[in-house]
Amino acid sequence: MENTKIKVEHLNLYYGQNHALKDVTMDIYENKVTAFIGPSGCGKSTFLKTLNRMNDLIENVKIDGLVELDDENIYDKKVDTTLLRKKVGMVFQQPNPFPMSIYDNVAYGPRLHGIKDKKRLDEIVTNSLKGAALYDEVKDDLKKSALSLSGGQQQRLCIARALAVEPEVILMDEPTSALDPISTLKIEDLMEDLKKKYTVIIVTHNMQQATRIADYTAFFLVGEMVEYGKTRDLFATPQDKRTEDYITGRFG
Amino acid sequence: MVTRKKFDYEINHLKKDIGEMAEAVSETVHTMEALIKHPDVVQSKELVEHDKYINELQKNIETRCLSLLLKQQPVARDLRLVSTGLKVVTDLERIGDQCADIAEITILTKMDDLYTKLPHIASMLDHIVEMMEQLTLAVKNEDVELAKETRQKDQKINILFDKCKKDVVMLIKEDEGNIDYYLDFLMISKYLEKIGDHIKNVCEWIEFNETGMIDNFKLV
Repeated sequence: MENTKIKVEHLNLYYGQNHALKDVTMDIYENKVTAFIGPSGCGKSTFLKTLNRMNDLIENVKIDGLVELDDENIYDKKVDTTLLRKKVGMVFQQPNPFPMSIYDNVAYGPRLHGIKDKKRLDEIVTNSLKGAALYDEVKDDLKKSALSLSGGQQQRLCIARALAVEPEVILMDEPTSALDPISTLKIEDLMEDLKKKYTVIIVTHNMQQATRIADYTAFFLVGEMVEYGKTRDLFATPQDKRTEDYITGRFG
Repeated sequence: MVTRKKFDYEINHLKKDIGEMAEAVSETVHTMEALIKHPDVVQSKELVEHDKYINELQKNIETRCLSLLLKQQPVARDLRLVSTGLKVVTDLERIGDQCADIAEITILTKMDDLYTKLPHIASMLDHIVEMMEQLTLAVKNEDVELAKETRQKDQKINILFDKCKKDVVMLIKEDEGNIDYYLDFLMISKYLEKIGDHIKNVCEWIEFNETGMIDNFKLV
């Protein structure tokens, strides 16, 4: 039995006149990896960003419908978006470490949230780097600039930075598309560990990646969520012809 | 715009190859039936040669399937087809082998008494030939309903085999001096029973190809 972490009901999003998300309804389950797939412009990244209100930052956006995190409406006026984004962290396509040391990158969020105790920060940095499977590679020189790390290491640092504020959900927008295959596999392996503690939602163009790492997959097309189910079912016996055409590459 | 032209070409080729193999095996089953009725050394050798062709078809299909898995990472209906291809060739090839085994017996053993001593063998043979013809059509037309209908008939084959077995036991009891002779009859009926099993297996994979399931069990 799965526990619902995020509940989305009849979600519509408009960029001005453009109806970018059309009546999306789905439950996202706790401690699972959920993948969003679909062609460019289908709304999957837009949808991802509605889950921690990143779209609020864009002008001319209108959103209606319901998004609940642990039964609480995240679009309620009382919601503090900084706290929401602490709970629902995000990792982007391009690794974007801050131009500072590895340590300071990871400690940045906790400091922002008021943690000053050195011992406590040390503990958070160590645990976060371990959680992102980066600690062993960098433990001897945490003062080194984050920018000197490889692309794959930088992306794991970004994951560590997201973990440092103790999120419950981690959103990942094509987190491996800029990485080489080995770094990609490291991040994919990491997902298996991450989901034990967090709910992970990933947008990916790489369908093989979705089959490897995701428990559930949703297929989006021109703003509509066409099909959503267990990854194995969606890739073995899709129910909608549009899903079948897309995943088998017969998509014009 | 239709994408994956080369992939579609390969997939269609695979379907054609599987159909061709089913036809080749069906031809062998017909020859085997003729040999039981009218043993013929030349035709028997031809059947054994034809079996080598079937083995070759199996290898070609396996190579094509593995190449598709390696190069194209098929999913959904393509994955089901490639899996089906890899599975059915083994059963089809075994049917060819068992026909060749029967053909050898028809040359080495006097067949005149088979139908009188084992009266159920004629019915068994008729069912096998019919099942194989239906199977070939089901493979070529991806006809799940026909596959379902065909596989039900295996039950009849099993019942007929049990009857043949009992008849052989009686024959041996009554005529101990000809045990080897009657054991050859038993072998023929056993091979036919096994052919029935293989046809049933292929039918199940035709259903899988459409649904991803065998006997309500989800395989993928």
